Amino acid sequence: MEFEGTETVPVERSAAWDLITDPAVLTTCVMGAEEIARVSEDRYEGAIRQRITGIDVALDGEVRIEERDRPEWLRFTGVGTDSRTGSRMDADVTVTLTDEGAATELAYDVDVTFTGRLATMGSRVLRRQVRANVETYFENLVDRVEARA
Amino acid sequence: MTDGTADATGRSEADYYRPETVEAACRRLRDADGRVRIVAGGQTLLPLVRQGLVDADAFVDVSAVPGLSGVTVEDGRATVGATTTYAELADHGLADRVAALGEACAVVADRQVRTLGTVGGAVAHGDPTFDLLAPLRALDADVGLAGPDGRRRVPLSEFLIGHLRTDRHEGELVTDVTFDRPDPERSGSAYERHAAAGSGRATAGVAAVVTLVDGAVETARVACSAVADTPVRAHAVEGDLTGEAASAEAVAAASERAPADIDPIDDEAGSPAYKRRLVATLTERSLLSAIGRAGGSP
Repeated sequence: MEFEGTETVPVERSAAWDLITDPAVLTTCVMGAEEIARVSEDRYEGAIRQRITGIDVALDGEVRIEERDRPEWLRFTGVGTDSRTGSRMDADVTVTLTDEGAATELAYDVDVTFTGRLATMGSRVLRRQVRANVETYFENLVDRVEARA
Repeated sequence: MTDGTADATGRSEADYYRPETVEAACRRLRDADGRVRIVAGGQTLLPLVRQGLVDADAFVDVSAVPGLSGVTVEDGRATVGATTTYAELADHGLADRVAALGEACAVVADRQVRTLGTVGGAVAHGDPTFDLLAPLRALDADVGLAGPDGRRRVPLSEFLIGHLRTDRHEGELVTDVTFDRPDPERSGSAYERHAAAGSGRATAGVAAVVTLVDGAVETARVACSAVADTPVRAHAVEGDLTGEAASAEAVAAASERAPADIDPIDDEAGSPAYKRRLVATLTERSLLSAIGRAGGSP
């Protein structure tokens, strides 16, 4: 399932780049993220635990920056596995950063695939849930920057 | 179990409690080891358990708590207990007076779900496609909760905070929903929904509650199911219609504004454009029906 959208953060592009690649920022902006650590220049490891009313999801996984053109563009992939439900999530994300005066527009393109038991929940449930996650991440990012401005 | 001791078939052992008072249920929720799930009708939870998507160390079955069941109307305020089933609500006189409730209960899933599924379960699960939530939103219902810190009440609009996310805290139990019964002399309500053939789930649904005065719309409350992260109010429609003549023309014009407040997604039930068109149509139908029941002649 694919999602795209844009969000504007009120900082210059190089600062926006640092924000979206900072593991501490990821941990506070991704819903339910725990202890995301940067294990190398291009690789992050961590866990996401979310409790929605129906199910608990606990994804352990890693994020890898596949391609980058600092500070304009990056593409990263994420893999998460939930051992309890025997499920796997694969994400492929592209973020393009564009100058907008003193602010930066982040345009994102997200492609997420589920396999295993989680996939049996169907697009009705998963699409809304994943979209809520993507939107909340970018909203949290903006809130965080604005709170510090 | 949540610690991963389920066997290869997904079966696991869990404690099962069947308390007979709200207080005892709350104690079980507080004291049980590990992950606790509340169950009543089981029509949402048990399929998830069977699919292996939900596991628990303990189940607290609240269906034997007498204080949680039944419908009462006192001083114009209606209370529907959490373990009241769809079928019980539909059979109650309140559902005749507030037709949207009866119409929503009548179209939920299938007969088994209507017979066993509960009002509290629908509220606590917070799935925006659940038909009953739209009329409850249109009725401005609030939710009663009991928990370790006592009891509290929250407007349904604040209780449903996101897709499958509610404001229910750890150890809390939904006890009831309450709302003001609309004035039977000059109010009417309706629920209209569409579901794909073979699907028990709404593609979209719209509940309307209308009060008339001298042939004009005094108040109109419209809520939509299945087309946003939560059941949402169609504020643009409500605003346009309030104070207008209760005519077919005014309803048709206001209903075209329904898409302004919704956020449908593209899924197996249809495209966002299709759902926006559908919601406008269902809004018009439910408003016309509600106005007719309120004694108007649109």
